[in-house]
Amino acid sequence: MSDEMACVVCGTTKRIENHHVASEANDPIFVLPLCAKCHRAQTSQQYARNHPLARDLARTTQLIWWAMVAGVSSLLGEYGKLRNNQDFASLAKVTESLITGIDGTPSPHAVKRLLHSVGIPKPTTKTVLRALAAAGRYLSDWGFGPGHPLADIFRRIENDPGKALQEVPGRADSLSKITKRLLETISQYRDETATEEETYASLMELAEDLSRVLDIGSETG
Amino acid sequence: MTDKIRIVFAALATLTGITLAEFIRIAEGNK
Repeated sequence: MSDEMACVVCGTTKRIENHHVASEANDPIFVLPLCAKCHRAQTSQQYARNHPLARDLARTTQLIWWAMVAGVSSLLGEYGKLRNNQDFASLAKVTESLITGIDGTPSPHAVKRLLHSVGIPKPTTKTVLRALAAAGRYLSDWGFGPGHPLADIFRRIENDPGKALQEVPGRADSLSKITKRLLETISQYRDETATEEETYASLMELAEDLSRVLDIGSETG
Repeated sequence: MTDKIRIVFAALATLTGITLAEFIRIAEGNK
């Protein structure tokens, strides 16, 4: 981090504190700079959503993952609220839906429930796909940088969700392997048996494999 | 952006992709 730290939510450089995104008990090293005011707001949210804060709790990888995602989701929501950007608010909701059920498994039904709760009365398969693709595009641009094949797939699904609904042979098998590898990668990162560089390289590779599974063909073809 | 949050965003992007693919699979099953 640079000497001049700015709050990742509001951007001020005054009264910067360390915010434990997943709470200190869950992840002592995942720290981001926040100003005192944004820090207080984030901590209140952790309490409000019954974030697992107790130090003596038995922590599984899934629980820690939940806490991390919940923390990132709160940050995204606040970032969007301050900028009056509805995309970020929706993104926070969709991100949050990924962890509903606390077991860390993706939950498509939870996505539908959440979209319903934010005012889409009867989310159709296409609206859900479009919302997930939009969230994925943001996350992929921030995580992997623009131009990653996964971001490109997300963009194409966002533009034409109907085209994504085609059967791809062997998709289920590939998906369950990718899910397993993702959980292993997170677990190794948590246990510190993999470095940040190794974890990032694994994620890049996983996302490339995933983009092949999700491929809906080229826009021109 | 710190490496750590880049990793979390990258992992979330992957998880979102998996969720999307799972969703497609379920939708296909309902056809």
